[in-house]
Amino acid sequence: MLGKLFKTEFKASGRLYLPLFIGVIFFAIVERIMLEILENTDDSLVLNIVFGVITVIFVLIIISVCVSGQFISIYRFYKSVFTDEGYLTNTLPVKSSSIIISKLLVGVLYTVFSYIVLFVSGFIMVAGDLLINALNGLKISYGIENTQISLMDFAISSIVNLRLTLTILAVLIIAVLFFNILVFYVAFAIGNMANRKKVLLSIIIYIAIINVLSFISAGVAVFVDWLSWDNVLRMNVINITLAIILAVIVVIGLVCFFVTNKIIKSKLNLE
Amino acid sequence: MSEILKCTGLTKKYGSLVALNNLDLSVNKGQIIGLLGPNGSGKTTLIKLIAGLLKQNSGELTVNGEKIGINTKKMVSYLPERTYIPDWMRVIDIIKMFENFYEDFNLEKVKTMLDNLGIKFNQRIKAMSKGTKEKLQLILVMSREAQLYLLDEPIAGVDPAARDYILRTIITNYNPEAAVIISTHLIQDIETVLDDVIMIQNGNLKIHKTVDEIREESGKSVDELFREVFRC
Repeated sequence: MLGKLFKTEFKASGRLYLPLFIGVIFFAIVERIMLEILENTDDSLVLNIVFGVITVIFVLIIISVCVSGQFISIYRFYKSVFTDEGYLTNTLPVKSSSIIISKLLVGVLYTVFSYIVLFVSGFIMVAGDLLINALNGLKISYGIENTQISLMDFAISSIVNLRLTLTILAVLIIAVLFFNILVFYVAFAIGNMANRKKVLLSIIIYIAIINVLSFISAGVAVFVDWLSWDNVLRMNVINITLAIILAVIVVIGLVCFFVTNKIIKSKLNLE
Repeated sequence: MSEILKCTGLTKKYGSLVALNNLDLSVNKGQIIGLLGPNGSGKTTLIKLIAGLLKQNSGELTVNGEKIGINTKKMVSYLPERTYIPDWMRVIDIIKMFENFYEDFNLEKVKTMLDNLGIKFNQRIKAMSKGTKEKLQLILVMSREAQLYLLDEPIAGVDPAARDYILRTIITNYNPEAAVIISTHLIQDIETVLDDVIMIQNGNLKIHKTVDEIREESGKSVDELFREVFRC
């Protein structure tokens, strides 16, 4: 049933994401063409105005994609579980945990797609000669050619095990994608238990949770600072820090998941 | 007749408000039951508990001998008083969804009923009137070969002509081995199709009798009895 739920959610979310993705790619291509035209023609006021307008639209769509990644996932969760659509979703013969997992996976997947689309649009913008020019400019401005220090050399000299660090970092990035959505899910699940102003309450709860997490982060920072007095530990301080952050995120993420599941299962408060 | 629904000491509270108070109830297969009561009497709460949308504070609730869960959701076909079909869908999308999730969904029944009501497969839900959405929901719900149908105000939002069609749909499409529980205020409209009547007030069971018993004992119709019992 998880597969069926995933398929249903993938389609339902796709209709919201796809127009944005197509818009970004389309305007990236238009921007690229406009840049080529501007480079190869005499200065024209009309062309500059057209280019300016297209650039503004392009930037707005890019901002929409950046924001929409998680927002659409949260909107879909709220709409299909806690509003009138909840009468359909919550009476399907499936586990409530499957409902959460399917929406979570689709949310993370589309967030990753958003980043890929943004990367592709960036590549289209600076492809070919412009890409080379841009890289050259970057090298010169940071003086990389003169100092002969590559990022890799710097990393290897700074930490003991780069491979381990990159692995933890990759897992951490994936965990953060799940975690961010789960915090919203639990906030909306708790907010739904109220009889009035559910959305407002959900947002307040989300802010409260984020503030609590800030305190926890501060605690982690103090702990890592204390660890770095030890010489051996200091050598591994990046890995230890990342591992602690990962553990905290996984634990809190799981708590968010189980609380959300418990509320949907036993405390659902549909109008 | 075997039992399809059983409540024993069923209690549901919302904070300090008692919506259902120690309710004992039993419903047999092959019956159409009218669940009647004034506003706030606990009808929708009882239906939501059976549908698995709420959890009781105490007491036992079983459908076909099973506690409420995934298995009972497979057996129960529920029509809420809200329109729940997502607006972005077309008729074909929601049909596919029902076909995907409910093993007992009968596609031929849907086709026939949609045809009778002139609803097209590619019609957008967003463009439908509230009444048409309600009819579509009822068609979907009655197209399942379920064991227990829960219909919460199935005729409230539609015109009188459509009401007749809906009632005919309910009578002709439910599995004879199943039971149908209809909650409504429009008693006169449904009285002729009912076998049993359950009246609840303030979460307590007031009357549970057959329609024939009510007529024989009180000499009144169900509608007249309701007005007498719940006179303000």
